[in-house]
Amino acid sequence: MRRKPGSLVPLELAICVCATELRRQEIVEFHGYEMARRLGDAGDQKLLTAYGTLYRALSRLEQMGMLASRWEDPEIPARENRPGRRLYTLTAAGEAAVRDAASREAEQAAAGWAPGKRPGRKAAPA
Amino acid sequence: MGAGQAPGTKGGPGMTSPARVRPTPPPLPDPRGDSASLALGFATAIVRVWTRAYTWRLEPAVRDRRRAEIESELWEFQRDPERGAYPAVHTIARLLIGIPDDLSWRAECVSARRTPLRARLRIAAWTVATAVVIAALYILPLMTAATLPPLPDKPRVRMPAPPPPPPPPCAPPGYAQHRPCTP
Repeated sequence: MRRKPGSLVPLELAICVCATELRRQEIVEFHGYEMARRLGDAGDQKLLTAYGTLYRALSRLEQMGMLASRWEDPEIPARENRPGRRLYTLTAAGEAAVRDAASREAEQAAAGWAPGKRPGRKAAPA
Repeated sequence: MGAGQAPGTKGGPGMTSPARVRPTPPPLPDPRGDSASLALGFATAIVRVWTRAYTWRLEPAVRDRRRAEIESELWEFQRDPERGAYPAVHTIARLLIGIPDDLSWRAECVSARRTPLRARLRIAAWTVATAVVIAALYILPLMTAATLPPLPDKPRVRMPAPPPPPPPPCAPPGYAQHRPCTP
């Protein structure tokens, strides 16, 4: 299925929302596993975000300019004897996308629209 | 090296100003015992093998980045105290669910690397032209008349004397010019 350019799929939006929440907790940068954990804990039930799905979504968001990323300072993983982390940061465009999505959702909620229910369509007369 | 290259590759990672990141958890002893950690080790190995397989022959920067990210994630998961009761099952499930995305990501990477049609046509034209020139250089000398070396002198061969002719055939009576047949 082709997607509209610039539109976000639910997982990408969820990543941006999680990144916004992390920023509120003063965690500016996050790595892939941190995001996978957050996404898993976000709903009522534990959700699995596959490796391929997550990293594909992260790289797509980066290409769209909603995330920026860098490798952490190589001295830190060397000191802690672990692999280096790719650190992601939500950009201004990402924050704007989250705000847009939130306002759209609020509008839809105000209009009484729910997914699966088409707005503005009256029931056919019996 | 830019921020897109994995650590350990040429040049080292690009650094920017330090920002707050969640600190690294300390390594945990596995409370589930040896069999659980063995199963997790096996699951981790499968993820590594699969990652190597689907990133095989991609561009080095793209390939190394994905491999390093998965490696980091596996390491973090092994050290996570809240990783759940069945970490091996969790790891394998995450691998299996992500296989379609892994494959389509690979396809995207491969198609992005492909040269556009016009460039491919140009390359094909140059290849054909080069092949024609090489073939011509090979064939032209074959088509020109070559001066052959002189033939050696005829060898003098002594032929043995031919055998005597056979006797003439016998003739029926009345044919005098032939000798009579003897029984």
